[in-house]
Amino acid sequence: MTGTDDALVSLAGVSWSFDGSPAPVLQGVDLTVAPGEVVVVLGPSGCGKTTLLRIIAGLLRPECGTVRVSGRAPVPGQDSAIVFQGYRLLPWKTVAQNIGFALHALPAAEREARVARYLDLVGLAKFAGAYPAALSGGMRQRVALARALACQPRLLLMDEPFAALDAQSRELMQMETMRLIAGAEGPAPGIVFVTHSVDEALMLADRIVLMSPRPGRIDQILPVGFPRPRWQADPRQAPEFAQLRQHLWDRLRAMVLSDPQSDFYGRG
Amino acid sequence: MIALLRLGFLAGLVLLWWVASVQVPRGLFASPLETAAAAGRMLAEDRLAPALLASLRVYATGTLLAAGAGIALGAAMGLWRPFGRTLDIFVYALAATPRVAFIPLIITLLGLGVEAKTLIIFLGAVMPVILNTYTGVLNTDRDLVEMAKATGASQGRIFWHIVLPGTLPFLLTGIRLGATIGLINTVVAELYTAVTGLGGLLALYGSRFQMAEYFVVVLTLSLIGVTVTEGLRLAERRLTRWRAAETV
Ligand SMILES: Nc1ncnc2c1ncn2[C@@H]1O[C@H](COP(=O)(O)OP(=O)(O)OP(=O)(O)O)[C@@H](O)[C@H]1O
Ligand SMILES: [Mg+2]
Repeated sequence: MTGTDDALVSLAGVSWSFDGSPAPVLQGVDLTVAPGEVVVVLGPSGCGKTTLLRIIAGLLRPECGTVRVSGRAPVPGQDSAIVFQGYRLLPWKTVAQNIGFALHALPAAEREARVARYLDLVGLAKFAGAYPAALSGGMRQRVALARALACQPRLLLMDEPFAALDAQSRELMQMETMRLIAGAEGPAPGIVFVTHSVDEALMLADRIVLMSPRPGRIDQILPVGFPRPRWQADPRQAPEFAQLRQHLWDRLRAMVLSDPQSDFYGRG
Repeated sequence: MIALLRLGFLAGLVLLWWVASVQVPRGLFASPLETAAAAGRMLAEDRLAPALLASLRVYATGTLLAAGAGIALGAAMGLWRPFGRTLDIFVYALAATPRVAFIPLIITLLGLGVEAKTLIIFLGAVMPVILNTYTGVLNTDRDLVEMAKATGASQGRIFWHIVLPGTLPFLLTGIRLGATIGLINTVVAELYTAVTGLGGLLALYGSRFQMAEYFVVVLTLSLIGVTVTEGLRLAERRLTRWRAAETV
């Protein structure tokens, strides 16, 4: 473990399996994330991406290996904030109360002011008193994002946050989200972002971590060198982009075709 | 519109009642007018109010105790799984036993007074509260609990902000069912133990074939039932306002 002292996240030799299951979900994962860096975890379904996020959040303790966030074992709610795939808003709380829910440690007046600022940031100030049932998918996604950002975390964990959106909203939300994170108060958080989408990974990542399934392992780590912000100078035309994209697709296809548990096993 | 239709239906029912009272030989059945006159007499002579108060007192005591105990036990069973798994089969068995069967035993133990009545009502009302609360707690959304844990929420915070609000719709349904059974058991208790209250009046007028008075008592009982269940339904709608947008 060299050079991890100033890392935001460092995982070394992390393995994990469900109780009583002989096949580990994760095996020997080593990963570091620098402050402010965007690391995208890409891999086929069931390769342990969500499990990896849970371990980094401190919601699961690994059986072996070490996990450090800001130099110590992660404590849920203190070292990171999570944006979940299904939004996970509390249906019985208003938009403002949902955002405030994560800020229970703050005094009430400060909490209200903070909620108001982040509602404004995501453009939902008018919906402060609405219940989630009355919002569209994209609006719920922004509430979930505001709830995570309002904690002003040094580390933001995002688990397929746009998977439930249609293709168009998805692309708009990618841009919008990166703009909002950049526009929020304080230094930009480090981000671990989980996705199935190669294009999403290429648009967002400083580095792409490609995972292979059963057991979940890191297959490759690829730096993505396009200048940011990427929605201004669209890098999708660049030949390097096409090459990287092709490479990632080839690796993913190979994994899925050689995984006996995948639907596409042996069809190559 | 619905209110008008309901009024019309009510008028139809009264008409049907009147037709029936004309067909049946006098003395076995009372017409709507005779019933109204009897109600006036009973109120004037202060025969109805004391019985009503006596019934309401045991009904409210038994049902409120059942709501409190049922919520506590059902929540404990759902939150603490070994406890719930041990107990739930016995609770289901007890819920399936006609609890009227316990009345002789209760009388032997507690006599014929208010305590026995309250226990009979309690036993009837408590079962749906326990079972619905238990189901509600078991149906807690695990994803929301994980979300709360990820914000550093304590067990108490998770209970108050996630488990309890999620259980509320189940719990309120349980209380509504319990309140209905509680009213039935109030009358049963008043018929089987010391004959008091509205149940006592039913027995009295029934045995003397005073059908007009008898009908007044029956209508009073259904009025209590309607008031309580409608009140609870209203409370339910207010407490779970957040669902409004979902169920339109
Ligand atoms: N309760 C469970 N018991 C046993 N195995 C489980 C359980 N939940 C998940 N798994 C297994 O753990 C593995 C990793 O799950 P995880 O949710 O981390 O995958 P993922 O990469 O996030 O998948 P997806 O892309 O579909 O979200 C999967 O292969 C899954 O079959
Ligand atoms: Mg997942």
